[in-house]
Amino acid sequence: MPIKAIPKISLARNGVGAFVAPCHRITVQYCNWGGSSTGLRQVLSSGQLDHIARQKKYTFFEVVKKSGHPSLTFHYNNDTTQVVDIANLDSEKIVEKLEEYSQRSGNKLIKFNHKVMSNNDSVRGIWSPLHMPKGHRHKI
Amino acid sequence: MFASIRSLRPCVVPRMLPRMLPRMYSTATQSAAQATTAVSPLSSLKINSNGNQHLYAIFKLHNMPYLVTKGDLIYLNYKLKNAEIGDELVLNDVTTLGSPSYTYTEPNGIDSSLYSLKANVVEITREPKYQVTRTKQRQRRVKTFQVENFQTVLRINELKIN
Repeated sequence: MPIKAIPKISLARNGVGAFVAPCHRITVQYCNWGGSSTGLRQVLSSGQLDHIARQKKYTFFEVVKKSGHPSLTFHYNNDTTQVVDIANLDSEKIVEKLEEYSQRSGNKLIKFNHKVMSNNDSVRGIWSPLHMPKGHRHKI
Repeated sequence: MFASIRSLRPCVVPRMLPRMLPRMYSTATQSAAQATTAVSPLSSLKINSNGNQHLYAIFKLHNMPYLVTKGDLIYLNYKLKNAEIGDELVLNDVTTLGSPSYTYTEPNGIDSSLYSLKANVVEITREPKYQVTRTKQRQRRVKTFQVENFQTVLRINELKIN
């Protein structure tokens, strides 16, 4: 009789072993003329963006000069992109947005009503009333 | 899975050390203190856990208990202070460690040198936006607030008995 292996689907568990930052690329788009880019221009000229880029070693920053309202585009590992409109925002708010969206995974926002999400089987197994010793069985 | 072999009294039985084996010839019993000082209280839990695979822990974070196994995701509905993604947290407030047959519980916390439980900060996001309406007495206006709470996701990357 041939031995059959138990099939098991491999799961991506980022963080067990190595952790890969989900946001790998950020595109910073600004306009050199428009008033809505004032805040972003300040971030760029003051060297704040360089400072952030130095801290986030695994994220590639791309600065694009293009007419129109400024925006931040976050590229995530799961092939999603998130465009954040930063028109008329001051420099502090822009840095806040950068920090917030770069720490996301790119997945849809979910409200999880439990504490722990697990893919593992229960260590103790599923409780069964039939497998209890005689004196401890549930009686109706 | 293991329901049939689960011991009814969840306690950890101290095992005998090999160097104490000659004792078997005598009728004198070992003193309990001698056995517990020599053997870790988690030794039988370790043997029963199939190389730390079948192991769970209950740890506390801000006094809230979380039952976890290795690889689990923990959703915290707040922003963990001074934490960034990629940070490794050493969780040292563990009250319970369990294997299929044994449980070791100490309500005040198990000595952190006996086990290692670590988590990675995987994601700091928000919950989907929703609206909260508030009304006041004798006021026609209904106030609506946009709520988009922070959410921190941790992943257990190490759970083992030392």
